[in-house]
Amino acid sequence: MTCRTFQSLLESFADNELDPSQVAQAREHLKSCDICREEYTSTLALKQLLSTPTVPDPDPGYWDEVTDLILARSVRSTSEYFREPGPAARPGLFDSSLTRATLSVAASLAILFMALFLGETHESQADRIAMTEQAMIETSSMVALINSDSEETMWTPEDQQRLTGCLTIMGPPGMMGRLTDLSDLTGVE
Amino acid sequence: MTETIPELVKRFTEGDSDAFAELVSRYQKKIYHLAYQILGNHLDADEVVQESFVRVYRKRKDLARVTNFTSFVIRIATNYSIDLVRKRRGHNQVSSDPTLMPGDVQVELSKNVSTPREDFENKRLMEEIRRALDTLPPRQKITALLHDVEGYSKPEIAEILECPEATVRSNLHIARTKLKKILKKRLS
Ligand SMILES: [Zn+2]
Repeated sequence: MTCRTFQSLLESFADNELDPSQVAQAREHLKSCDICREEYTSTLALKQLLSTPTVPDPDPGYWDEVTDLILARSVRSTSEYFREPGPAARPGLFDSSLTRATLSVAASLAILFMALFLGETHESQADRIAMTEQAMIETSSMVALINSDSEETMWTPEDQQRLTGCLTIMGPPGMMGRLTDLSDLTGVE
Repeated sequence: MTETIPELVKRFTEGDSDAFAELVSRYQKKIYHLAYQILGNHLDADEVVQESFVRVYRKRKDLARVTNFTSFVIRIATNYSIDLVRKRRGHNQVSSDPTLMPGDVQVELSKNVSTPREDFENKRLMEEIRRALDTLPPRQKITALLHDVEGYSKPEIAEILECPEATVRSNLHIARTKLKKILKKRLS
């Protein structure tokens, strides 16, 4: 084995990653090469030195304390999203942010259709625009509502189905194209 | 019988908060240890431990797709630690200030009864190693820590740092070469 080959294998050798035949060749090389031997010895010494414990133990009570803090910051602060068995676990119809969101969409759709319908019959274009704008405001408030807690919400399959159905009737992407992308609403950061 | 990590993860994703608590208790020391090595002080290590698990909790919906929970959680902790290192940089890096070494906590090295002089030597050695590590850019430092201190394999580190194994090898090589130069006196 040449010095060059040995150097290229040095770290794998030090990390016990070579196969037995390579190990034999590397050992053979070390017998006759002071420079490579020195390099190899210092690599092993560095590994040994780095494995020196340098982390002081925290106070004995720390682990229980930090577990408690983590649970308080996660599970306990969002416990309503952990659905436990039993009828009481599910939030009431109007408590659910999804239900509120669904109602909000329904309301804005009604306004939107009304705006279009009235526009076709006898209202002026200005009115139609104003009402469409109102619908957009309603819709964007729904987006804000969903986005505001989507990170913490665990959608159930039925929730998702309701939401999908709700979004499907909103039609093709465009003004509200963003809404039709379900992954936007249910994905995490 | 002790539950395996995949079993706990499954229960956790199904909404069982006890499983989450058990995962916290199984991983918190590992994360604290790593974060302390990266950041050099208890307060930052504590912040990493807490924030990592809060993030794991928030990402629980992603866990169904996660094949290796250990890599997943260590990656979150590592990324957050790197963020903190960058944030602390310029703020008179805490880890390189020896006066902030907690003097009242028991140092693992000196758990066996040691003389004050040995104790002093141990602390000096720890500080020297830490200073040497602090000269490395974050990715190199973390690669060296994960491999040579925490004992992760190269494929595991590639998964944690989301990079090719060749990158792990080259970062480790560069880190070791620099450390050998800096710690030369300690290596002979
Ligand atoms: Zn040689």
